Amino acid sequence: MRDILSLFFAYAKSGLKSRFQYKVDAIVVIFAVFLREAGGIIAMYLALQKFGTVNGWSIDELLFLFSLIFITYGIFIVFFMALRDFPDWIKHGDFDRVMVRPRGVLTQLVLCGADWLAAFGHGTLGLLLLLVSANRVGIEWDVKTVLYYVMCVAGGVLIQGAVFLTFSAITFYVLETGSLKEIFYWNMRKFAIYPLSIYNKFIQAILLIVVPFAFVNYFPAQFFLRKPDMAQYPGWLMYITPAVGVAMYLLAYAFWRFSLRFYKSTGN
Amino acid sequence: MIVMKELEKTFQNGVTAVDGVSLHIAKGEAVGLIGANGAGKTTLVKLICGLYRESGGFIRAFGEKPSERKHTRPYIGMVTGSQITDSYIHDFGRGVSFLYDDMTLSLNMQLIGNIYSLPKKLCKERTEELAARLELSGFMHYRVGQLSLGQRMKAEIAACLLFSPELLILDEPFIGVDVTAKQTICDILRKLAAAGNTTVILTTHDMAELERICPRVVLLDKGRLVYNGSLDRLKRSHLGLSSLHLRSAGMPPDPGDYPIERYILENHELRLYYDASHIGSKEIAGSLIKGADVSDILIEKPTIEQIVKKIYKEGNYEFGKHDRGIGAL
Repeated sequence: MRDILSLFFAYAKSGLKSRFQYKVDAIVVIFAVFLREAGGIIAMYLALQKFGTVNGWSIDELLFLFSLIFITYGIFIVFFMALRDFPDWIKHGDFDRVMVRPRGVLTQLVLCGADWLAAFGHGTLGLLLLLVSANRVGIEWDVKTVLYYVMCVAGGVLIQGAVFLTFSAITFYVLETGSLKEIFYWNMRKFAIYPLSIYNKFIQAILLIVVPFAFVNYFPAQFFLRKPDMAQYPGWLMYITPAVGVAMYLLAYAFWRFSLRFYKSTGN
Repeated sequence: MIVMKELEKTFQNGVTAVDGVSLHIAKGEAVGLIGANGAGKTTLVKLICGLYRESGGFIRAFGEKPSERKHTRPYIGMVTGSQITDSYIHDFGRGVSFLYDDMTLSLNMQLIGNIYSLPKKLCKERTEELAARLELSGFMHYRVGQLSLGQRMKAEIAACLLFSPELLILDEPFIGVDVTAKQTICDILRKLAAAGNTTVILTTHDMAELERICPRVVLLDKGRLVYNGSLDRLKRSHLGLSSLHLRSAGMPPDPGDYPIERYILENHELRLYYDASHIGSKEIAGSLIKGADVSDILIEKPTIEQIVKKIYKEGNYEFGKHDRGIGAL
């Protein structure tokens, strides 16, 4: 484990160094990512000035809901970028390099693939939203709530990691998974910025079971905010985000292992 | 040691890239893998590395089934020159490589040291030594993506040698590399092969380099092993045409009844092409010099390149024909 940690720091150090070699460029990119994502929030903010609330959620509460998406994505992209760009790794043969090295394949992919600029862009936005909203939505921060918040963030990162791990494993069978990602990740993510309860049963089912973004932000947010629309779901859903994260990740990992064997025996 | 028996690899699309190959490679041996494009060289290499699982037959590398390697030992160093070259020509940005394009070379080396759990001090020492030997010392602070192709290839080799691999696989390391870089690479590989601690598998079309590094070659054609033995024997059994170039003061001499394949006469110069397995150079040259006022004479033996070209072209794999006597010894 210590071994892996030192490897992570080695990758992180060199990744950061190379990303920030051209400092102005790096800052411009971070700022661009920040603005791109913030644009959506500003639009929502302006719309809500008119409507006031969405299914009982105030602007601040929605910002809190929002912040979880960005914070988890910011962390996710530090660990799982190689999985986001996995088809490229296979196509260019970089994956072969990883396979002959004396470390676990996934360990290397997870460690070396940090997109620091996106991480900073999304991360700062997420933290900013959290800072703005956290006090105003009336959360009592104590050891218990902080601990559960951290666990939920970790769970959310794992859920998204599991989704991308699954996509990556599918890459072993069909090389092009870009459109799958577009439909099942990026589009679902757009749905997840509003409370789950506003959608029809079909979309809710997808967000609960297929790509469970509901556990990334909606249910954790409910734990802290206890909005009345939670009444339509079983209460325990608020408490299981960390478990969902771990379970999904293990499941995705098993599928990944199986697919890796398949890849070796077929050869793309 | 690497052992293969009736090794087979058929892809999903039905193409059989490796077809019944049986081969032993001893520890510390340097073996050249040759064959026309599409002969199955890269697939064989990938089977040895465990990047593919065999679809039939038997393969063990260093006592393990390669496809079930536990990512520990043995360490394999791999340089895939053709894809690195492609990435330069077509500007893919990335090729199969041990190095990360957007990191400096020295950072890359540190990272590799870390992956292979080298003590920091040892890693630094080896990096400096390799940089000096491969003439890379001035480029350590360059991003790998900025290096020229020749420097890049040297850097890839340095990266592989950093962790003293037990198996070093070089897939076309000379493609597009300039003469000086070729020379440096060749030198370091020759020393490595001579030291005998590292098994080297080299695939290349540069026969001159191959000849200098690998005493043994394996020739593949359409996935089948068609020759396995010393380069010398390959040369002997498949002699190409030798040529004799002769300049004389007066009329050039008449080659008479010798079995000449081609005969070119231009002013005072005579050029003869003949098969040295049918007639000795000494015999023919001696007879020509005797009958004329020769001012200059040059005899050229066929290069290994010409021989291999001839083999590829003719598909003539009857190696026993010419050297039956040698084989019997």
